[in-house]
Amino acid sequence: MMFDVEKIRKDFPILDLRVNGKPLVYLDSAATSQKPLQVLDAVRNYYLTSNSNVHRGVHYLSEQATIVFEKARKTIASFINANPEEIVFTKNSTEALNLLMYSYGMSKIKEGDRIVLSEMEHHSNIVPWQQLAIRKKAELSYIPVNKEGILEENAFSLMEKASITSIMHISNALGTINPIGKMAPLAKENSVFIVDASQSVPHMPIDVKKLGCDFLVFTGHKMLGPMGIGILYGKKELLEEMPPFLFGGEMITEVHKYSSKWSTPPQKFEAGTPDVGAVIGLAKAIDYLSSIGMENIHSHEKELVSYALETAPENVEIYGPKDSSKRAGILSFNVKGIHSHDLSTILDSEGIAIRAGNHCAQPLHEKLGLPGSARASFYLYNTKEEVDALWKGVEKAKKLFGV
Amino acid sequence: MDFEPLIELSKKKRKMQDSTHSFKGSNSSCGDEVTIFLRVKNDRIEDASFDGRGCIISMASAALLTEHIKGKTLEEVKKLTKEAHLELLGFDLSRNPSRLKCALLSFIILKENL
Repeated sequence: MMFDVEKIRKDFPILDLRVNGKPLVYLDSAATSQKPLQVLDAVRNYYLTSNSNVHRGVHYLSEQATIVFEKARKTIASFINANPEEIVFTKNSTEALNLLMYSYGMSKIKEGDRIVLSEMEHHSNIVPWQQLAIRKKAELSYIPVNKEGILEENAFSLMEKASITSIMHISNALGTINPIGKMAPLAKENSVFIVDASQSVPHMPIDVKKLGCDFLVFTGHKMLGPMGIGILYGKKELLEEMPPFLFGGEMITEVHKYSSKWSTPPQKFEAGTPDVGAVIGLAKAIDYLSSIGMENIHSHEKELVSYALETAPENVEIYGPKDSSKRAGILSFNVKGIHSHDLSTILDSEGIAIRAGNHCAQPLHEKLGLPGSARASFYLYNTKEEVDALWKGVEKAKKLFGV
Repeated sequence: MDFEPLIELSKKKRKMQDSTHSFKGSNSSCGDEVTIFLRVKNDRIEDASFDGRGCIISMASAALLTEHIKGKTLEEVKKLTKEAHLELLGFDLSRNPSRLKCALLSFIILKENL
């Protein structure tokens, strides 16, 4: 299939907005993606034709809601080559990581055990493990990141003594693609390897079996789906051993006055009424992405980021790998003499939306010695013209600041 | 937002050699840092200046605030409200609520230390 960005853009009416009198240039998809009409219609249609509480009633609508809900789980599972019972619905990636920390971490980790993270992690993949380490007196170790924004491979050996290793697949701050396939086999027996795939599942083909991870988390809103739906993938045998995270309805098979029995996974981890509409929306987003092809989306973004690297103006310092095969469609940079927040405000006056600051990766910015950075992130609906607009906006800011 | 006057203000950084007080603070979320220097005699601020690094809004607001408090008594400065400080800046942040913490950085440093 031909990748036709103009045709794709027609599915995203928000991209026609004018901001401050200028056409919107949305370069903040790493924060959240825009949503196509197909997803919005699917959510609306669910509420118009199938809305009811799932797994409860025996009436027509409840059965209907349960059918579409479980069908969505299958769609999501096959998108990453998992089985439906290995897919747990959460609120977002953060909640999925918290589930792992509270359920797996609190039941398995003992004093002196090692937890390994990397210095480039998002706060959501640091803070829960920091808490686990404090509560269990476990040791927290970090795989260092070098100046180019690449993990130090000689420190991968830290994993050999780790009970938990949790690493992001693609850095939200640098765009670095980490060598997950190379790392997974280093995890010792009886330890787990967790992948935060929040920035990779939306942008490239992902196969959990090929990656070789035990758990993988991602979030719907960064991949054309609604906010409020996150995914935890876990190997079946691990999910079966793990204690529940939240208690209540749906996650039980029997409740007596003084004791209860748990459902099997994934229901064991899905207490309370889920956001069915968001699940339906995410499944539709996956259908949409699949119809375009994840390989095509990945290539399109690579092309945009290469073009942006080639055309960057002078005095723009770009972070992350120079080798574009090692980076995804994320470009972080600073303009000498302009604070990233000021740059973002000036670009905003030109209708250009980028992210500025530390991108929820404060330890990484401290390591790189940066107070913050500006970040442009690309998705299937972005164009080379938008890259041009970004650099034109940067030139304008440079002129204004006299740098 | 009109940046030009702010750029000029933000350049007025000055370390004070004979200060009687210096207060440092930062916004950890964006890394902005401000130090406020005061030379106080008989409870009156004879001179005030600032130094630091950060965005134009945090720097410009530190410049305006230190200029404003020069010559005032400590009691007068303690009475300065958040609203009065923001008014001093004269730029409209109503459409940029995320930048409010930049504008308030120097004010908070001063208030917490006096």
